Amino acid sequence: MAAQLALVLGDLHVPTRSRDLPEQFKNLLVPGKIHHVLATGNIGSKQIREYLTRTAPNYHQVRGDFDKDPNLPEKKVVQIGNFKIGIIHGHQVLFVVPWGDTESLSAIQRQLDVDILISGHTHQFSVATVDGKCLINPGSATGAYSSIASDVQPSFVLLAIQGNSVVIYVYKIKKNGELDVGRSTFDKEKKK
Amino acid sequence: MVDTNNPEEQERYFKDATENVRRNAFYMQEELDKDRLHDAIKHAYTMIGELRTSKQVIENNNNNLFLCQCFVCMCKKKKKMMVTSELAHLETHVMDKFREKQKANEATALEWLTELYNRVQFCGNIVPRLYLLITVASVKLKAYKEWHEDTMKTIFDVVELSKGVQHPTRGLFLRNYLSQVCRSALPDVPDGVLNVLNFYNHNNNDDVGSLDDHPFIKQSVDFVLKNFAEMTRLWVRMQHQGAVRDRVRREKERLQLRMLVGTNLRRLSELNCISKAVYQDYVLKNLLENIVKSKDKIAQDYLMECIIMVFGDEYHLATLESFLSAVNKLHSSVAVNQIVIKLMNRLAKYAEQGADHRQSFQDKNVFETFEQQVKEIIQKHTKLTIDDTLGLYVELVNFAAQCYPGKDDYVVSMIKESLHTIQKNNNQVPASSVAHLSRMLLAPLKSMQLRVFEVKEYRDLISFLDFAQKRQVSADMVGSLVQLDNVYLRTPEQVELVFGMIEPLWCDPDQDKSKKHDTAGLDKDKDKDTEKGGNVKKSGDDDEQGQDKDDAPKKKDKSKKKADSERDDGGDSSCESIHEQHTAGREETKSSDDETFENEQNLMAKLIQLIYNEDTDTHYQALLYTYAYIYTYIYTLHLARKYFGQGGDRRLVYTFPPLVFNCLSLIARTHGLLSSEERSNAITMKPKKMFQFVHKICHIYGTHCPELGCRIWLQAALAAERCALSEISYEFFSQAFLCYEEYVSDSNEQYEALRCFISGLQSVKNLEQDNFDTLRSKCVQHAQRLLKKPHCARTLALCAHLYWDVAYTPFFNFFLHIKYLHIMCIFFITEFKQADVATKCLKKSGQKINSMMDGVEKIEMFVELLNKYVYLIMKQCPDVTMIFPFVHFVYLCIYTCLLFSFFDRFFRNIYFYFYFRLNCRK
Repeated sequence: MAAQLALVLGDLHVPTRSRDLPEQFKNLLVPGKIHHVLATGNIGSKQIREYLTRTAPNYHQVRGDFDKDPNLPEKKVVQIGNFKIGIIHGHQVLFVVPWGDTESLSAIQRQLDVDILISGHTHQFSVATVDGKCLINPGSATGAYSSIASDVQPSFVLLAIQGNSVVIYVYKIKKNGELDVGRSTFDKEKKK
Repeated sequence: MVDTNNPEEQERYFKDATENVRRNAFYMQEELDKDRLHDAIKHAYTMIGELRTSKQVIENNNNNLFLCQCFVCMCKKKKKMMVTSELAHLETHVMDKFREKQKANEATALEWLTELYNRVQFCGNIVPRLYLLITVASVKLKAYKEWHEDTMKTIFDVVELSKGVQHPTRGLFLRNYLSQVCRSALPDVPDGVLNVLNFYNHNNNDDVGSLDDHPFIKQSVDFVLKNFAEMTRLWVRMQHQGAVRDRVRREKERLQLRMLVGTNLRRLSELNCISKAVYQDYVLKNLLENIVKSKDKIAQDYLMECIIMVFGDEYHLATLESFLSAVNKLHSSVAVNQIVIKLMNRLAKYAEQGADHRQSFQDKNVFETFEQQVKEIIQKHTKLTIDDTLGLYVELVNFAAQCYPGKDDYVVSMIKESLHTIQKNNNQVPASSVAHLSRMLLAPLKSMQLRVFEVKEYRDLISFLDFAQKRQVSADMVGSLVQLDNVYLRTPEQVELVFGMIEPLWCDPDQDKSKKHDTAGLDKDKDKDTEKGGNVKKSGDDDEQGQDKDDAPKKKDKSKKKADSERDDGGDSSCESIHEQHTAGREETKSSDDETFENEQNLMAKLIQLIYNEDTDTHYQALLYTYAYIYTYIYTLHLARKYFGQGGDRRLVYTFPPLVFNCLSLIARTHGLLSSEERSNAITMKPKKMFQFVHKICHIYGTHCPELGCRIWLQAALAAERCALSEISYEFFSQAFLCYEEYVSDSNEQYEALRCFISGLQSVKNLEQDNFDTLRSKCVQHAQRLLKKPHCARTLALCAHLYWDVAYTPFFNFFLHIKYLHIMCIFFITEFKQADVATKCLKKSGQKINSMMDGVEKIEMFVELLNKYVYLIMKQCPDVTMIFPFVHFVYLCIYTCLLFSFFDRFFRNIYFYFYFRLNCRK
């Protein structure tokens, strides 16, 4: 079976903090290639949300602290292939400072009982493996301003899920405007 | 004879004719199958004869056989009459026969063909004779493998003979048939010869070769040109036949037949042999001569357009002068402006496609040629309406913007001209010209960007539109502005120019007072301020002394100040009523207009993000200006109470957050610059000052949209915290709480907001001890008051973190990093880490859970709570004992028989904390 592609992004804040997705990202996100969009919230206006829903047939979004829509869930669990993926925005996660601390995130990961936990809010990209589970923060896809992070660079994450392993691609726009792609792999632990 | 005025009779006759054609076609086919060519030709003759008679009889019928045939040939959609396709059968048969004979003996085959050619000439009637002649001639044309003198002679022979049919409609169709059958067989430069010039110049001579070296190719070009000339003549003649009263019908018929004439031009463009040079020197000259000579409006209108459409952009660029000079010679009734517009449009599109295309415009000054032309047209054609004139100018603006992006003065001069035209027309713009104006406003944006706003005439143009049109154009303008790269509103002046122009996006149409179409919204507002009297100014002066950069924003600030103080004086009741009105307003504005409005305001939000300047002072000034623009309008509404809740504040919800965040990022930048100490002296606007500005905006915003308002207060507080401005940060935090207390009433929203507060507070590092204490006890206080028990329990548990798990531990962090000492430091905890309060919070949370009714949810909550306990214990929080919740938990689990599954979840956590973490430390 071909790999399932899931686009992970969040904290776009269009149009309150940023104008639009960077042109370089838009060129990458051609409709028809990606199967799932996992959004961590704070997407912004209706148009940009519609744009994302057009990108892939399955669209999942949780509520961020600046999302007005009260119907959006606080957390969501999605099954893609063999992986159970949890999405939260992350402003609720506090435990240890600052937001997005791995320890508190892994507590949520255990609570949701997922293999991969996706969170946003910090506007800083990070991928960590804790206790055999994967924690991903795609950062802000538009490089929006944040009061808790300085020098935000636009970034998003693409997951290629195949069998028991995930390839995590990170797309980042560096300060000089170049597109930077990182790649890492995460394998699911076999149950004993 | 048939009565031509009786439609039934006509219909019947038409049916008969169709039947005859079908029958004869069938017989012909039959004879062909039997290989009796001569009999087949006889039937073909009768069949074609039907075209002739039917034409005579139902001349007045629009739906005559000829037209049907025309449509069959050209569109192949209607299969009513297939005379020409039947003739194609005949042609194929003759061709096959010829090939057969050719195999045996080439000479006899040709002889046979010539004989056939001569034989069909004996037919009695001219129309069938010529159709048959053309059919055989086309076989002859294809018969030779190489181009041959004989064939060309035959072709020209046929062209000459076709002159025999001088009836316009019949002649047109006959010649169309001729050009159709010859299409693929005409001598031409073969396909695949990339450079036509090389083909002409294969001797490698220096002089560029021409058609003259290739007589056959020249002849084929001549053939098409001649056919075109003849057809044009026939087409024009149609106009002058018959009674005058039929003119309208005749013109309609002519328009239907125009494709036949135009096809010739397409044939020409399909010929490979027509290179740019050949087109320039020979073809175009010939065509234009014919067109000018025709002296007919319909023909000239259509054929000039055809030339523009059919030939390539580069060809037009090369022959611009001769084309335009021909345009000048056209009949006076011809809409020359449309022709010029079409040509400009075509070239502008060509330039748009790429930079290398644009390069070809640099070599010669096309714009000035066009400008000259347009001026001549306007001078010469006095009948041009203002609509037409503006249309011409619009295209010139568009053309200049596309083809000469660097040359602003072209655009500017044209805009000036248009404004002048409108002014000459007593400032009246007809409704039909609105589209032109909108286009003129949008066209230069891409090439001139913000520079275009500096042109006064450009700004004046928009004043000729009514409000709805202005609104539409403004939205389009902003829409294209925000998509441009590297465009920033750098100075207050630019903000003023742009915002002054897009007025409809930030204010409503005036209903009671007639607002003049002026762009100077600021001036008007200034007057308002002075009207309000001096007392406001005096009170404001003390605060505003530091701000002496610009007068206008200063005054704005005063008016803001007044608004703020007014609101404060007014007390809670007025604020609450505002809030109610606001929510009510939100519900009722679910009309279809809503979406447009939202889109517009989102565009405004994007526009606000364009405000940027390297120099932080100027950036701040620009922000102040923007605020002044948006706010003074809202404020005037606020004065005229009746609008409140409908107009201004609806926009504020969209435009204020970007303003705040723009300012916050500016503050972060300024703070960075100040701390790097390089050019800190040059910065007069300190973050402190800017936070005052943010405070004002947040204050107004908070009253309108409290849910997001508290979050924005919180963001501002965190930003201040990051700049180490603890006092300001505390102020913002407390404002956030005030906003929450006053306006947030929905229990879910309260829960959400409180959680944001707690997590925000938790990351604080620089607050004063007392202030921090106040804030966190506020959190606990509000948490206890939450209505829903799960909310309450969860929030209380979170509060426990505020008393133990805070970032603000500069002193203790030092100890925590030293092994063994971190246990000691527990005893030093005095102020920030208050273990007893943390425990109390958890206990309260446990009590709340215990008082819940639903068993399963209760256990779930207990698991969550126990996790918190474990977490705090792991963080070395003393006094925390899990006995109370644990006992309850176990009791509940036994009670509900769900022991195992929940225990599993609980112990998984315990396991994680104890073993995994210990392992990590090692």
